[in-house]
Amino acid sequence: MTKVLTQTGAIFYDAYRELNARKMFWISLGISLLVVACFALIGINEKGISIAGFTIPGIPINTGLFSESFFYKLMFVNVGVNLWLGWASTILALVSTASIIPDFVSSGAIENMLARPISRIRLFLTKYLASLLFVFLQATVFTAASILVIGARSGEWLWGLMLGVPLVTLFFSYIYCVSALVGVWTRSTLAALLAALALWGVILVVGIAEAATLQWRVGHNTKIVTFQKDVEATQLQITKETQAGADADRLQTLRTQLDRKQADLAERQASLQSAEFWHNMMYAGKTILPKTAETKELLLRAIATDAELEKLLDDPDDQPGRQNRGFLGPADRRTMREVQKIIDNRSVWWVLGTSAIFQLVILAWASRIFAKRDF
Amino acid sequence: MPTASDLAVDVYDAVKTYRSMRNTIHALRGVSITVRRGEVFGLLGPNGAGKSTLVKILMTVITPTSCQGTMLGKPIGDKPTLAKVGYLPEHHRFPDYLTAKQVLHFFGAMSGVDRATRRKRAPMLLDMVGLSNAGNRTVRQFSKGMRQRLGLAQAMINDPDMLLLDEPTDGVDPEGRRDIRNLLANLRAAGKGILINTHILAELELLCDRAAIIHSGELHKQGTIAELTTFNAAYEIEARPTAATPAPSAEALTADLAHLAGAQLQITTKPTGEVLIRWATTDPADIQPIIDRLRAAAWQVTRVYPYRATLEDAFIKVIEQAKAQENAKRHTPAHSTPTAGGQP
Repeated sequence: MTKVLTQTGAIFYDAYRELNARKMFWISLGISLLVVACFALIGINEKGISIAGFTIPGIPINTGLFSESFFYKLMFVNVGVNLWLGWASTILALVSTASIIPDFVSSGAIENMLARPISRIRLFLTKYLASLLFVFLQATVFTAASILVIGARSGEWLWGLMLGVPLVTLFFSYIYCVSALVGVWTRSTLAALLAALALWGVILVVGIAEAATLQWRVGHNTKIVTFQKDVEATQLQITKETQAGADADRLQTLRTQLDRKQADLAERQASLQSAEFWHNMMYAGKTILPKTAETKELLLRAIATDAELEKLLDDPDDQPGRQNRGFLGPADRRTMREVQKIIDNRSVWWVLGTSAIFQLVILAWASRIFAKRDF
Repeated sequence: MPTASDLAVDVYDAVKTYRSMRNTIHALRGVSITVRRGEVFGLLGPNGAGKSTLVKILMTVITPTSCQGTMLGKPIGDKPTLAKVGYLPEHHRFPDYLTAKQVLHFFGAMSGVDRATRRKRAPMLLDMVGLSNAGNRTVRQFSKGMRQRLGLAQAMINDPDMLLLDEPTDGVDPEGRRDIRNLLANLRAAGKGILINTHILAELELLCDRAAIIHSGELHKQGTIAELTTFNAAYEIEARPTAATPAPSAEALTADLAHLAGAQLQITTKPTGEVLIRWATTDPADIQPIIDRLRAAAWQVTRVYPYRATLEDAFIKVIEQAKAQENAKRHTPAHSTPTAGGQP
């Protein structure tokens, strides 16, 4: 056991030293602290949002809408995690770490590692985990600094934000595992990087397609319900007017309307089947692929209260005195809200479990290549 | 006959075949060698002979197609055994962001050596390989020779019972080579088994107790250096006619000695009038009558010395024989298997 700990510690310590030697690590860390410094400048009060103490006029977000604590949580999740750690920093991390596995398995370096009393599978998996140190350290420093800055500004110490560290690391690992697979397979840094970016692209496209087909499906469902009500109402009207002895022309007009509405309903129902088919296809694809966006969104689900999350879904039309925001009509907004509720109700198991299965399969494949190869 | 416990490496019938859609490459075709504890064993062969493949099989870097035997008493491929084996790969590359001390600590830890032992051994080893003043310098600042010395130090960080060194003096200056030879001699004296894979035959000859010659994945000869180089053993005598007394001409002397020793004798007359007499024997008693005859004929014996073929002579002879055999096989219609050594 001591030997295992010694070897694992050595690989992790070496990974840390390797990061220390990479300029990209320090550049990324510097930008992280810059983003946190920006957090320190942004605040919220009853009049709106303030930057460096100056309130920006015309922004309808104030403490009447969100509490100061929730505002900072939102800022951390949306700007810090989704934009910075989840996009820009991830690209820097992928560029920086894509060479780790190809360098590790390159001729001249790998022989000395394999000739040690450590199994190949353990060696590879430990090296893989150590490669995640880049993102883990970035996320830890960023989150800890954010908590300090937000705490100093608002007086609330949001320790729950630390959950962002494992979630961001997990999110990165979904993409990085493919980089590791291609790296060990081809020994090419460029191929490893391109494969990771390609996977990320596929995940994004499938995610957008799934959301779009879900919206299509939900929109049709909503409309079908409306159409069904309309058909029922017309049928009721025909019954009533027949009983009241309405003239034949009037009844004919109503029956024509009913026929048209029933035809529309049938058309919508057929279209719904198509929407369901395509959405099911996209959903299946999404289930197989890792859930990058959903993993990041778990953070907000974990740190925000139910009431705060409900507030995000509030329909401005339902609230007296509130201005209608955006260009969507009430029906579209209802559809969007419904879609968001469906997405939010997806279980943590579905988000993390299926992503973990994807990663395990990829790592098993990469480990097999590493274990079987003659170097 | 050495017992099993005397053997650091006892590998037999090591086979490595690379198969692809296009061809089959036989890197090793049933090689068997033994390395005893407390001896330096040399592995010789041209490029692509399969030397590195054999070493890599022992170090689990390559999986053999088939291989029997043991290393330090455990089956070949046993990972825990590697904790007591030191390895210096050919063309090794250490992370260039590490200092020499960090390299030793890292690879020591990978071999399962505890921190206290590493702290004790690292400065000692750096001193041993002549890098005591470079312990805190990063590898990227090292010359090739320094890297090689560092490689040797890392191979010893786990105080191994067996060392496998692939081209250990590659890029090292003459002084460094001498240091390495002395170091290996000390390790041998301490009872370590050492397997060296090198192209520099003169160095092996100075250091090795036994050696094996491999060509195209086949073992062609294995034995002590004396055994490998006895094929051309002889005594050589140089003599010249004395000026004071009349002496028979070289031609007459040649005819006289040929009569005495027969076909085993080769006599060469130099332009200076001296003769070089070469008799294929290892027994000094055989040459006494010739010396007597020379003196009786008023020739002055200026030099008598035993001649032994060098390891390079032995190597070239074995390789030429192997190539001749291969050519003969190639021209035999029944033969169709392609032959090639080394890794693809």
